[in-house]
Amino acid sequence: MSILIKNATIHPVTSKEFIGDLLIDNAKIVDCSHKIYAHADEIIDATGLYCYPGMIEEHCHIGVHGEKTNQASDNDTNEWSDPITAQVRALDGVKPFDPGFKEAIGAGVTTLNIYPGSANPMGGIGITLKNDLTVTYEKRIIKEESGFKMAMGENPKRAHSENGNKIITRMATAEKIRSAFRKALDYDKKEEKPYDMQCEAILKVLKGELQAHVHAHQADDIMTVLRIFDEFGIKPSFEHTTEGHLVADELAKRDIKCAVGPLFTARYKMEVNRRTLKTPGILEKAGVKDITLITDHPVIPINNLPIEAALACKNGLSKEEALRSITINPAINLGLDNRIGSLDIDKDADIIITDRELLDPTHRVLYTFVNGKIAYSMKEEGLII
Amino acid sequence: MILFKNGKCWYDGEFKKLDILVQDGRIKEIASGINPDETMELIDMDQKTIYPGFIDPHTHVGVFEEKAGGFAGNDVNETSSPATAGVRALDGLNPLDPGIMEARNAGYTTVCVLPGSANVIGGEGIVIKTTGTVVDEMVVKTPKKIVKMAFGRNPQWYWGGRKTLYTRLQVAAIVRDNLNKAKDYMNKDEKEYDYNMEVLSGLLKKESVARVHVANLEDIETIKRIMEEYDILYTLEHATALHTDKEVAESLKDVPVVLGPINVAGKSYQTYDLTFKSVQILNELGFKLSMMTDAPVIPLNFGVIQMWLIDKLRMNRKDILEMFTINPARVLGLEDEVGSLEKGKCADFAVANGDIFDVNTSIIDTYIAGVRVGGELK
Repeated sequence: MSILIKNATIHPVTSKEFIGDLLIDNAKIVDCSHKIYAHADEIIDATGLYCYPGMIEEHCHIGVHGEKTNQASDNDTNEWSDPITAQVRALDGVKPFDPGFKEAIGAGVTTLNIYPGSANPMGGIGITLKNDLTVTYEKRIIKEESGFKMAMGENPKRAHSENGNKIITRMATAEKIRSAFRKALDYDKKEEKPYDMQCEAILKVLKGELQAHVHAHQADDIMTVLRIFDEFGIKPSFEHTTEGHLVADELAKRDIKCAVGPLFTARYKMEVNRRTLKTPGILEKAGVKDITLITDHPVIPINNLPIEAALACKNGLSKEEALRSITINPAINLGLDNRIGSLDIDKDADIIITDRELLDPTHRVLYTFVNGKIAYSMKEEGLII
Repeated sequence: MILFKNGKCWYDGEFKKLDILVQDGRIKEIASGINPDETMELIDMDQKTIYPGFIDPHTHVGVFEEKAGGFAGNDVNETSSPATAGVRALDGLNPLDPGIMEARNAGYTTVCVLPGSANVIGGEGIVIKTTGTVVDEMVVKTPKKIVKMAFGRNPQWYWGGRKTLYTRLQVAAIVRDNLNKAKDYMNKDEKEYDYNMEVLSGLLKKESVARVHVANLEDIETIKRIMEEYDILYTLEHATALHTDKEVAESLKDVPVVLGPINVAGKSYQTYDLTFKSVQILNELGFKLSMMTDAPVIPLNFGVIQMWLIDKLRMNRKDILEMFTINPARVLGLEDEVGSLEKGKCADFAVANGDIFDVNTSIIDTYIAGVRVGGELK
């Protein structure tokens, strides 16, 4: 099935926008240029419309959270049973038809990275899905082990002081992480041993096979993570990075990947008190590369992803980086930039067509393509909002 | 007197280049070509867009404080009992809540602060202007007092967990029981003064309005039944599922509806039908809707995002702006005081450097009673 999108303002994201055509064939982008003369099974006249790569949400809990009822029986975000649950995988908790997936596709989000929650210092392994609701769950998976979720700060304290007195202070969170790393290293040295899923998962992190993504809001939590990871000779990526602007130079110097957001929550927690829309711009100016924005859906709704980018842009982030922060940068962050995140030839045909610019929050998504198929059409299904 | 000269004013449903003359905190005159004289301070509003100050009819700012770390600043639900009519948001309101400062910097000049929705009868709400350090000086007197109530799942969920009530049957029974007691109280000649009963008597005498938290359709119908039974003035707050049944909606056309917060995720039984489409559906049915942030659920400086998202429906922008200005003024009974740029009304302005529907527009100055009290950029 080939589709030719004609005469759109095309934002490849990795290069400057232009008015032109884009050809999809066999789930891939096969051409993207000023004028394409080719036969196609379907032609979409996109005159006056805008064309972007499908957005990528690097950090959400769609599917594991269980939004149909919000009841405990439906919630698989946090495995509260212990502070260290490195062995669990979001893969096994996703409800593939939770309402968030549909909201995401209607908003133009074509790839979702789903993490376990932040109750545990080591929470488990995330999963990356293509957001194509027309295929089975297994076929949506593009990275079965997308990242190793860890958490610092208030959440582990709250969760595990209320639940078994296993962590009371930040000191214990750090201790639990060190001990878990140490235990895995000791396990690795043993010749004969029973298979330990937890140690095996942690070893992947220590050997650089699986990237640790660490929930950290406050600057002191960020620095604690760097201290611990230095001890074990590995490099973290950060999630939320709410006070990243206070340690921007350190993050830039170490070339650390930062996912920032959600940018406009209520400040119920002390650790988000200093959140500011200026953080992404300050990080960019300090030299932090590949800044990623996240909604943490259902913390804020997934359709706010481009609004975060627009407000970050209004508050100092360059327009180029604002667009990258919801497309190619999360792809880089997840190690999937060879397949998704921009409108480059040979990449997966994950594309959105909008009626106004993506960074204008009043835009409507008219089409969402996933793997070259129309996964959402506003005309057919109505506005999803 | 202050003359705001040459602003692009949101006036009578459209933009007009007008001058606004302010005396003693009120609009003395709004017209084109008002000639300045030596008694007037002149403020040049050229290139600036003047909206009436925004109004949020349903917030918890000041009583559910941000940045306070939970318990210390949380005075929103008096959960010592499921019926606490006698308590007042006024007495728990901290004017120094940063949420109030951010509200005024974002152009919100009038907000109603209500007790929360854990209790069936939550207590009295209060309307304030968003500037000041002494709450009593911030209060705007409303023609009718405001009583917060909550039906359905919130009281059931909160008090069910504490083994006080279990079903929505009992939620309704608590309302009836309290109103019956208030009737008896009103009819007694000799009685001890009872704060709870006084507040409920106010409802029965139509000196107060019940502002009722409700989400589900079945709860909306229960409210209608009880309020009609006791002949009480009421509003529907949130009304999440009202759009799902046009017949029910039609039957409630005379009841003010305050929708929102809609820009939230994490569905539950109460929010399963949550969608911005409800705005369009109810608007087309003829409702004069108001929009809430429920701040701090959505902090007021991000209230404008809901305006942008409603705009995706491609409704008339006049209708949208009215949901943030004159319609909530009507809900509060303050339509002669605030909510539009009209002669005699308070000089409360949200001054922008462009169209509010443009993401790159900022509120550069907020005026309350003709005094600059904030703005995003300074």
